[in-house]
Amino acid sequence: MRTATLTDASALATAPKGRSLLADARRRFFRNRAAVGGVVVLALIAAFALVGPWIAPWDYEEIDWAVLGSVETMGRPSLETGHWFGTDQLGRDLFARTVQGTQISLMVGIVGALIAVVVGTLYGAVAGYFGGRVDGAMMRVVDVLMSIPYMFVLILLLVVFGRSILMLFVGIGLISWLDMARIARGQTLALRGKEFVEAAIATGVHPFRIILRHIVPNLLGVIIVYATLLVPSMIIYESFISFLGLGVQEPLTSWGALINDGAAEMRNGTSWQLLFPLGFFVAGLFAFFFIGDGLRDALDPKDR
Amino acid sequence: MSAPLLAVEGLDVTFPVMPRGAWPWTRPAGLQAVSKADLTLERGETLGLVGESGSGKSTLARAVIGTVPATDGRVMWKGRDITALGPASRRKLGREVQMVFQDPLAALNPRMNVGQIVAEPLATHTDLSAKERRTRVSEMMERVGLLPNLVNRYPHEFSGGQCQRIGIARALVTEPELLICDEPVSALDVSVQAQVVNLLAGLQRDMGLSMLFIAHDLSVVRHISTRIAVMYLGRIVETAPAEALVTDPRHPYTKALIASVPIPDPVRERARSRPVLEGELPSPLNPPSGCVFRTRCPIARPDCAEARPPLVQEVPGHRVACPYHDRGGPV
Ligand SMILES: Nc1ncnc2c1ncn2[C@@H]1O[C@H](COP(=O)(O)OP(=O)(O)OP(=O)(O)O)[C@@H](O)[C@H]1O
Ligand code: SF4
Ligand SMILES: [Mg+2]
Repeated sequence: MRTATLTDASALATAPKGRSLLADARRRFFRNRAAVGGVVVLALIAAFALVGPWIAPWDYEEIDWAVLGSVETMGRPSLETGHWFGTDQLGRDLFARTVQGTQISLMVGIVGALIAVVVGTLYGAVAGYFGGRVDGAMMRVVDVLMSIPYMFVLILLLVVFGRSILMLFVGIGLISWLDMARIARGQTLALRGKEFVEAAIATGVHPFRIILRHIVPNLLGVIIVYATLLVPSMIIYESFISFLGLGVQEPLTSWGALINDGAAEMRNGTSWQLLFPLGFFVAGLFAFFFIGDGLRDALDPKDR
Repeated sequence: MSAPLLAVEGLDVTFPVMPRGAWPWTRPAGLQAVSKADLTLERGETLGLVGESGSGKSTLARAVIGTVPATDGRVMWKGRDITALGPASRRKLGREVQMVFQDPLAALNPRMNVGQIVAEPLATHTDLSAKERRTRVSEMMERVGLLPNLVNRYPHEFSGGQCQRIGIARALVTEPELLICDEPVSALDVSVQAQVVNLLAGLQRDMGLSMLFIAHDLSVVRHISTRIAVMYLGRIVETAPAEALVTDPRHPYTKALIASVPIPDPVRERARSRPVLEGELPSPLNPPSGCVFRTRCPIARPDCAEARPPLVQEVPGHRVACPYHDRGGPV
């Protein structure tokens, strides 16, 4: 009988290198054209944000006095003046400003989503894993926080602690972890009934180790997908707050702030002020959307 | 006389379940999955636990390993009541009692490779270095008939039988004293079932394990058990040495179970009379009064609805929960 069992196992012995689910997922992801396109676009945008300051002939807060007053004609996008994307209404170089706004928007989006995901996942996983009264209390806190209008909280934070990018990160991140916590909790409840979790409990693994080794890795698919979809919504939040005048402070800017400025001047025949930032905004959001979509397909173990 | 390795005494497990469409403030109904179960398991013994689906076998096993709370009664491990232990000392028991699960793939974390899965109990209960752990894992994998160079593989790359071997390796790597096997082969192909059962029997002999072996029919259990307990709707209705239970079944339910095991010889198979069980398993939410088997019992009588028949020892080692089984047909 021993020999029989060994031969049936040796059938697999030809390829001793393991392919993890994540390795499989990576392969599937890179077969998805739209997702790869999203990655390329995002990489270009990131490169633009990183390299832009080095190649831009103008600084983002420098006013070109020659242009001021006749922006509609002099401030057009042109290679000669060095204003590749034109200038804004105050005669500042739009290329440099778009670079700067891209940096801020990406940072707000990514850092905000990161805070939301880390806090939300751990909170939700703990609530879902322990269940019962712990879960009840923790989720009531989420309900209460959710019922407070997030804009109100954010505005309060910005007013009380002063306007700063750090505050913006903290504020947006702290509000948006609530959804993540709910999602993570729901998934954890389902995972908790799985036999591999029961096996770990029966083995005597410490609860926090179970959460980190068994629950969270199995939430990864949902987390990654949610995170990539969260980044654009963070960017949109930030734009909204900038519109209220509570976002980034002049002369710093962001996609949202640039779009709002551009939109306000649209009737003056300076459409480039809207179109350049809007193009980046749309391209960026679509890129994140396609990546999120591709990740969801790649990580879904059901259609392996 | 020293205490038995495991003694289950008057164990009750009741799940609160909300009736469908109930208001949130109604009191949940109690689903008695296990009711006043008594079992003992001596060192080196294999106790078979048999009953149809939904009779509470898994729940009993879960109460022993502590993943569902006992509503009442005690689980004694080496004479010590473990239902009353705090969480930290309860976790330490994981080294001594381990379980093999019904669904081999679901029992393995899809995000961990085989090496990590098998090593987890070692990492939990020992101070071994990573290198020593790897050595122990390879040894264990070899013992269960898996090539040790598969440690980097992930569960979804294995067949059901191989997954069950991984589960067995994980359960045995800390050399526990009691192994609970919850229908370890019922999810496997018939051709693989015998291999896994033989593997378990061999490992039990080599490692001096005690075993609680759960199955929904007698065909698997009778070969590897020293004693067998029969469960029906959360109650233990008969326990006896394996041989006695098969040759001299007393409880009407046990008789029906034995009749449902096919005889390999087709002539005798066709010739014998088979008291087939009629009807469905009653709902554990609303069990029949008195003897819970009376709704399907061929020899039930009016008295059976009165009181729950106790598990009475009739011959040393043979206990039956039916006072009327030797009185012939219905009166
Ligand atoms: N967590 C739970 N909550 C509510 N009811 C439960 C729970 N677990 C089990 N039950 C119920 O308890 C009863 C016994 O279930 P159990 O899983 O112990 O049966 P089993 O004998 O192992 O059956 P099977 O052969 O199908 O595995 C069933 O009626 C089941 O619906
Ligand atoms: S007590 Fe009555 S109903 Fe129960 S098994 Fe015996 S005869 Fe049947
Ligand atoms: Mg079961």
